[in-house]
Amino acid sequence: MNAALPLGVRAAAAFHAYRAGERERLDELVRLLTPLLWHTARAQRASKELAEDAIQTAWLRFVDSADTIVEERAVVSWLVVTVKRETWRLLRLSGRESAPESGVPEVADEATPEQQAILTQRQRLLWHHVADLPERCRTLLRVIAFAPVPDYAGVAASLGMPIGSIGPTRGRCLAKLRAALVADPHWEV
Amino acid sequence: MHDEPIDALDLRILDEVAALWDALDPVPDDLVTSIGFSLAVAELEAEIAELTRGELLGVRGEETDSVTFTSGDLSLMITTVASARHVRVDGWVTAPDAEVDVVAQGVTRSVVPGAGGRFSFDELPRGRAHFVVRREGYRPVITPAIEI
Repeated sequence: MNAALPLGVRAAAAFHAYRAGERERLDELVRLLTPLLWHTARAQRASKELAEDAIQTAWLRFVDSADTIVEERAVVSWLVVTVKRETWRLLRLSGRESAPESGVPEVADEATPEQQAILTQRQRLLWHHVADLPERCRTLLRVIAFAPVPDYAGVAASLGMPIGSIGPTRGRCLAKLRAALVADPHWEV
Repeated sequence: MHDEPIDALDLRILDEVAALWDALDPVPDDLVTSIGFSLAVAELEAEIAELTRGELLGVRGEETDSVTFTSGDLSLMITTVASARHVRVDGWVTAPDAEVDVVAQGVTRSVVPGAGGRFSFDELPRGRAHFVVRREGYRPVITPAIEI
């Protein structure tokens, strides 16, 4: 997905056209970026309903602020930051900051049989290694896996987890996961 | 090795991580559609009201629940009473000269509040609903969708 699809470029192009008056390009932007925003909100431990509300509000703000976003390439980061802040605000408001309700188990062992059943064996193995990572790494990787590579560093910074300033470097979290997978004899590279 | 550039193996791992989360926690089917709808409403140049009290969320069951939205000097309080199929909404808005619309499951209904800003809607379909407050000389105010 990341290599084949220059999501950031397509998003910037759609945003540019939308601002130039092509209303229908906004729908394209929503389709392109909603998966990234969904996982941004859910990685902050928002319930499904809260995640939907945070994302919807972020898009409403986006339309409201479209004229003030100067840098078209920054549209992805702008939305990620806005979703993250709105998620936190709603979590605080509902008093659930410390009570995770994501409905998705943190580790493979806690998965329901239904959740186990939808995963391939390779995915279960990957999940096992993802679950072994520190929480901030799980959060970061979950979000940047849906981000376009050129925006990878920007998205990480938007989450408050900068991964280095020069170019899209691997970063500690991805390096950790990669090392664990490469060292696992059951993982075929 | 964390400061090395991303290579093909990194990209494959990230793709597999994305596929894993996509399987574990897929984006709800109707999310993109419902965002598109609220944006269409918002393009009426509306102000967005902010939830300031209560919860937008969750299964409300048979209970009475109430939420407050605020935008500038305008406040809108919504109380819902749900029965099995329908919901009754009682509301109060701080601008008595306003008109209030509710948009629920594709149905739009309008009401002019009575004295003191009170209004109500009977027999709305359950599900997500927006409210829009219109006042002469002001931009309309739209709320985020709430589950009613």
